[in-house]
Amino acid sequence: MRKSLFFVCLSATLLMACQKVIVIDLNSADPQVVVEGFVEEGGQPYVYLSYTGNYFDSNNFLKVKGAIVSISDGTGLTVLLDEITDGVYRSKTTLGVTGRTYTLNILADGQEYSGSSVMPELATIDSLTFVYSPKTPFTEAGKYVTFYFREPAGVGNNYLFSFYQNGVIPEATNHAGEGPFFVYEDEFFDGLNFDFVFYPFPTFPGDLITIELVSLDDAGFEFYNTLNATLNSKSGGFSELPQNPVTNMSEGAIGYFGAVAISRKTIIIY
Amino acid sequence: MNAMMIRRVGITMVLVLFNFISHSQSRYTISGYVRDAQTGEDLIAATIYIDEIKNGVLSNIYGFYSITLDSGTYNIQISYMGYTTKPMTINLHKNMKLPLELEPASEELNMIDITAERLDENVRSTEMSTVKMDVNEIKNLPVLFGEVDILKTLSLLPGISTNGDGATGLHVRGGSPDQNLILLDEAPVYNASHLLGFFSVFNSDAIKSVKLIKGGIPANYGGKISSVLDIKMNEGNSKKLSATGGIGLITSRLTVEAPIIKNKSSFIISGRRTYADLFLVFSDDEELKKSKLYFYDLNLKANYRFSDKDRLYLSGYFGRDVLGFGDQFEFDWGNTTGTLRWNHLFSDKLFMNTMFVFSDYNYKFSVKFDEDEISLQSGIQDFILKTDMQLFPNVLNNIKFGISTTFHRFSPPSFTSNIPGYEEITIQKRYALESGIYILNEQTFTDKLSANYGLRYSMFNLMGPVDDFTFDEERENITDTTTYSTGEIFKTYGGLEPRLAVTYLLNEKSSVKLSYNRMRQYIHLLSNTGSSSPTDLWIPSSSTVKPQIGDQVAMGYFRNFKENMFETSVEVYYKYLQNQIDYKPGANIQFNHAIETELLFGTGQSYGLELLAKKSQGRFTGWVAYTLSKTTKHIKEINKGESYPARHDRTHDISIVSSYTLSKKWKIAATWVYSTGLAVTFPAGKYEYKGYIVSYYTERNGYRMPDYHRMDISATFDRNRKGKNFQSSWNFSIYNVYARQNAYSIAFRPTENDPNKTEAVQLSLFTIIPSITWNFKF
Repeated sequence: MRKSLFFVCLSATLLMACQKVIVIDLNSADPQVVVEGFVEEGGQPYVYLSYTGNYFDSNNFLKVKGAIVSISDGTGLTVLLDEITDGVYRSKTTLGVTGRTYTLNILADGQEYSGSSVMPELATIDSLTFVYSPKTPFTEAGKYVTFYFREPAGVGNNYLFSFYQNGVIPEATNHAGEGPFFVYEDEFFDGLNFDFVFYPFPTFPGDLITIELVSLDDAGFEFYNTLNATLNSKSGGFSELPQNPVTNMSEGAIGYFGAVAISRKTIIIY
Repeated sequence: MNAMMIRRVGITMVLVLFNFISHSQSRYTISGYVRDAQTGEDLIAATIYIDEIKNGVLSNIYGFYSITLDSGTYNIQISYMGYTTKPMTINLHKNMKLPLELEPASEELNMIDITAERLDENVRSTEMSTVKMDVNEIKNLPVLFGEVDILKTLSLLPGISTNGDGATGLHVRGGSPDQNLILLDEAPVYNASHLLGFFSVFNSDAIKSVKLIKGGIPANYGGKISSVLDIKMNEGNSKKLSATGGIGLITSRLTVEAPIIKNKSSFIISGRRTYADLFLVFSDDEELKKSKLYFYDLNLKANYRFSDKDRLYLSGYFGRDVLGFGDQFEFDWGNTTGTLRWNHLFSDKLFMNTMFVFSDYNYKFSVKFDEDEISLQSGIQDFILKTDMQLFPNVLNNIKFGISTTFHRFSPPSFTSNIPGYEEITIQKRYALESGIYILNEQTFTDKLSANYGLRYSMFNLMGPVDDFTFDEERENITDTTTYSTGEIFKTYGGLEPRLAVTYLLNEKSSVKLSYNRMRQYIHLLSNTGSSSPTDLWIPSSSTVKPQIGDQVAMGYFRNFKENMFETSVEVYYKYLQNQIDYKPGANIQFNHAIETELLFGTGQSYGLELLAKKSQGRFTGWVAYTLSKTTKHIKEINKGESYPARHDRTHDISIVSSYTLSKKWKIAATWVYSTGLAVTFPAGKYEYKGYIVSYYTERNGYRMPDYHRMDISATFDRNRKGKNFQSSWNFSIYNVYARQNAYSIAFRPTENDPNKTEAVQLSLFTIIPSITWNFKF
């Protein structure tokens, strides 16, 4: 975070940097299966399956059709997910009990993939506030939203904080190189009253803001943390070395399957 | 085991010494210091050549020499690059003190070849893979932003490279910058770059000599596995007050030196500061007006000669970078080093140098938001005690031995704030002792065969107070914690480091050389970004992190042509590195109690061919350097266990450096560099996750950045007027004269106007940059 921050400062004040789009001949990896699957606490599980594509092709990724997708809860219950549209698999059965281990099994193109996740404890958002801040070197002028929650005692909890402005995740206005996923371990705020300001996102009167506090397992923290690194990396220069995010799926599948507990709260800015 | 090893080395040392001392009874010794006649500066590695025995010695790094010969009459010649050779006849029938002073060669003389000079040192000496640089020589070369930079000039030599624009970290024969032992007046420098790597911390006005050893590293150096960069500061003019300085585009420099007591004691003080930010005051932007962005360097040195036998030196370096916005944000970092040295002559044959050295590197980062204040700081500190002895039994042997011990204090980031609940979060400090004992002999066996052989034993003790962690097999979780009290030694590493360099003269003009060295490195720099950053973290070896070991074999053929007008060399090397460090994906190395859980370990190797042709006499001087090399790493968890190219692996690397004296007033120079692009990882595909387009990577460092090439030119105008004390010169430089857009980084990202597409965007830092510098001297 700090590194990119002062690099930006430097390039702004000192350098005569120059950018251009270049043509590069890249290898084409064989298509891999990408998994985006969740069991929400007390919710219906869903799994999106797609393939990787060539880098310079358009972003219309092929869906994994006709896969056999099931989730078991470790107590003998296994639910089969139906493909409701291309690559989208859902079940009407409600799952998601704290402490249970959920295992996702996928059979696609004759290959089996699996991954599992433990449903973490729910942490509840206490309240939301907002306060005006003038322009600083790091932030635009605007009203900034803070949310409060008491972190459950005991080290080992992981969180993803999500911010929705009128239903969509906005582009960050600062360039601190952090995010786009705000993931934290409770190592340094275990059991405390915690508050978090969404500094990259100025808001304005009339905005409908929804905050999600998502509890994750360790693999989820690892995945989103490394996904941030992947999204922020460049090849060469000052950046972290580009690497794939760490997945909890087997057999070379990409992505993350997670059991998550989500607390949501909404506020209208005035 | 370790204690026994030390005893064994100690006994060997005593035996060797006794042997030499008892051997030299009916002979006499000439000894003394070689100095510059005008400034009184010691001359390092000046040659004292005795015609009658067709052999000679070199003055040591303090200018001291000692020659023991049978009684008789000898014709000797004292010579030093850039100075007038001094012939003398000596009638030796008792031990003699003979101070030698050499006059700098005047400009006119410099143009004529001084044939009496013994300039075939590169062929004859046992040193190989070694670069010595005359700081005055490089001042005529083209520069970036008007700043002469020693590290950048070194990278123009074979086997030495930096990672392109905006990097001063040296990669020597496939090593990484933290594997170089950088010594400034014997004090280790932990972060040698300013402004994130655009400049090095070495102010050329304060520097006397620079020596970089790539291979065949003698036993008196230890602690890092790749190379030794030994930099000596000027001592200060002991004859009269003088000043030098310069005004450049972004920095100004001033150096003042003078005798404190004439011929006995002198001092030098040298400062440099950038002032780009001073112009920000004129900016219209209120935010920019309050910004801070500068660095400074301050070098100080004083010395005092108590007698011919004792001399004391005190030197210090202070440098800092500061980056800030108003009082909301400040980030600063820098090195402080101090060296107190005592030179003592026990006899005219035994020279001692004892020193106490201090080195500190730290950074501090602070942010203020309204009432909230947070700060973060981290660093490393060394306290070193060291004694080196040099014995000159006879002309054929030059023995050095010594002992050193370093107390390291590692301070990982500690976080303080006034926010309730977060007052202080600290990663525990680590403490360690690093010690070394060595002996070496530089011996001439026959008039053709000579060698520098030695042995070093190094040891590393980890000390409390500390909580030492034990990890599970995957190194993901702490399984056990053991608490050690202050000063308690709980883990020891150590081992022998044999060193050997042999030179065989084929004839007067050519030689072959062979060397082997083993090096051990106990401290490691963690950095998971592409270039050096002030926040990179030094850590000690621990129960989990093993010391790095480097073995290198090098071979070379050296040949001079046309009375040493042209020097050429061919060298090949092979290097094998153990316990190399890499990082797990997304590793958090900044703020982590159990940093070991983020690291991966493996091996590295590097091999290469280096060619150098150099012309250092006449109006036209310069060199052509070519390196062909391959550097790979092998880490089980990376690249599916296959070895992969190191990021700084460069297949081809060419430098051409030329300088031409047009007239007494004008000199022109040009450099051209070309190298294969750095090894990088590019995506082999992409996918969508939660609406974000994510790159998919397969092989590590499987691609290359575009080839790097660049040409720089310069012209220097000397306004040296006869009889005038005040002299000045202008340097006009153009960096990247044909405005090549060299790639600094390539970002793979969604196309700005068409979110349904992705593109590759290349960032280049510098296009064409002219600069002008005015230098003066009086």
